[in-house]
Amino acid sequence: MISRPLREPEKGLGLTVLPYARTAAIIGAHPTVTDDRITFEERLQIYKGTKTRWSDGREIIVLTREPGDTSIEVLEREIPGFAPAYAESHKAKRWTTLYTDQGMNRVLARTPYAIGFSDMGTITAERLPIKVLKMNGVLPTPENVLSGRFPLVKRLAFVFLKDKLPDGAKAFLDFVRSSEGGKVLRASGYLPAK
Amino acid sequence: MTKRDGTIGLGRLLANRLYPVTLAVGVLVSISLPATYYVLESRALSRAATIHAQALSEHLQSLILEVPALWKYQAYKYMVILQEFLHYKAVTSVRVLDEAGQPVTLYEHRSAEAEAWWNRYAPVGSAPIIFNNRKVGTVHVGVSQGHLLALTLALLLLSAALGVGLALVMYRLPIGVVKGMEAQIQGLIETVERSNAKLQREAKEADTLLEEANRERRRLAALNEVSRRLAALHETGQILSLIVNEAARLLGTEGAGLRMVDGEDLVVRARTESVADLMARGRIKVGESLSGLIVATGEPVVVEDLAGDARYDVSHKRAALEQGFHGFLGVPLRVQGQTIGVLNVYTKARRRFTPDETSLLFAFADLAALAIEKGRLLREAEAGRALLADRVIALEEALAGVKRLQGLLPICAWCRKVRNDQNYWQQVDSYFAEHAEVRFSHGICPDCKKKLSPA
Repeated sequence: MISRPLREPEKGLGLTVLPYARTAAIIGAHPTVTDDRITFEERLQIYKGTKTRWSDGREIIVLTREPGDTSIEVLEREIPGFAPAYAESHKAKRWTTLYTDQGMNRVLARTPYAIGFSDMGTITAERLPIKVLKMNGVLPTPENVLSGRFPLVKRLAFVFLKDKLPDGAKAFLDFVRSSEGGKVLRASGYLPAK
Repeated sequence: MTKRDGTIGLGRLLANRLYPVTLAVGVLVSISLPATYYVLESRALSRAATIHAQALSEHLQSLILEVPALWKYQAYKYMVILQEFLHYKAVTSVRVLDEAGQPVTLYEHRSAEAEAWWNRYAPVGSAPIIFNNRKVGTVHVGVSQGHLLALTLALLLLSAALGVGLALVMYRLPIGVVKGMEAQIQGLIETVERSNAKLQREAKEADTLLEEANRERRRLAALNEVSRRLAALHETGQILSLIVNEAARLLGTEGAGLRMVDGEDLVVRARTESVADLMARGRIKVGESLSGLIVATGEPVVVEDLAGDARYDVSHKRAALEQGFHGFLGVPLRVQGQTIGVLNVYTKARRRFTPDETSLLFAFADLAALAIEKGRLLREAEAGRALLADRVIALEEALAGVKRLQGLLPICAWCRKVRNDQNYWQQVDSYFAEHAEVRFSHGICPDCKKKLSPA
């Protein structure tokens, strides 16, 4: 499973990419944070170290992911100026870096006044105590994702070698892409792929 | 480069120069390799220690993330982190400092190996503990260099052996090669010297030949000059005087003299004034003294010192010694294979005339003999010409007389008187006495006697 496009070296491996779901890449915070929204500009300022406090005066504990992570790539693609700000902060080892989605979710859920990344599917499915912040005043609801008002979207896909796909796996893929599978995905906070 | 004994000292010279170089190379190889290895590995250990420190710093960030204000007091959690961190690492010491640079004593770790002497200056890596964009502490991680020192020591021993071996090869190999070349060069030098000696000999011979050629040229020039001057003279006295003077000049002697064969004697015909006493006897016999010997044998005579020559005339020798003459060279004067005289030169110094000088005097004597012969022939021709002239005059006079008697002479058929040009009748005997230088002696023939004296 991947949540990013194939990279150049992977494109020559004869892999079949089968998209099956979409989910909103969200900016999350620990429930102790009183703020409920954030803007692109504020996100940039936090990474640059110029915004260090929440509106209630508490220190913002910044959690981030390593370069190449899907959430980072989505932010680099959608937020102007984010890529150089992130690269500079990563080089300076300015913020605490977590290397897995699960690690990010776990630390974000337990660290007061922390800000980090997650996605709606994981938060919904795992019922994590993470506060989803509005991005530029827009909540990452399925409607806003479908309408395009919420721009930060991860696209999930299965990746396999077509001639080596077992029948059972093929049946599973068919189920996931069916209307029944779509119901399950929606119930878990995901949107079926187009 | 060449030693006093003439051999080339290249091998020794090279050995002297190679010794410090090879020693330096040996030491350099012995030390540089392990030193380089130690420096590089030590830096690698330092980098590893820094990476360890960075890793521990990240672990501590997780700890700080959980309890930001009390992270320095989480001994148990730190112990768990440390145990996991130390797993399979050659870390001997860990030291954590807080934001004020004070050691967090709870987090101090030193293994027994850290106390060993060889780890006194072991590499230490450091990394800051950054949490939420601020430095909250520093991690120092020390690693053991025991393994590095052991390998460096082993490498030092190996390099020392290698260095010594290399130095020996560097020292011995070129010297061996150079000594081999030196022997070849020595051989070449000897060959060159032999060739050089040969060339010098040939050059000397060429010089000698050139000198001989020059001498011959000078001799020919001198002879040519003398010949020219002799040819210009006709009077015998002048010729003989020129011969002795030129002979003395050509041979560079103080005197010269000439005797001519006169029957069984040799007569002094010319001499320089300096040897007048040495040729005081104007006439000597052929075979007598040195001049007589030369004429008798037809061969030249060379005497280095007349004082020791028993063949030389006693009176002449005495005069020679009195006047300080010692050297002598005499050659025969020959014309058409016949010796007509002798030409001698005298020197005051003892001198052994060379074959070239003898040859020169010989050649000059031949010229002189020809000149003398020419003078003689000229004299004879002059005498013949005078005699011929006398005879021509006599004949002319006789012819004149004959002419006077030519023509028709009128004669009386009875008295036998003839009529002369003055138309005067004259007796026949007086007429012929006047015109034909004939004198008559008067007598009577038998017929007339019978007539005149019938009784």
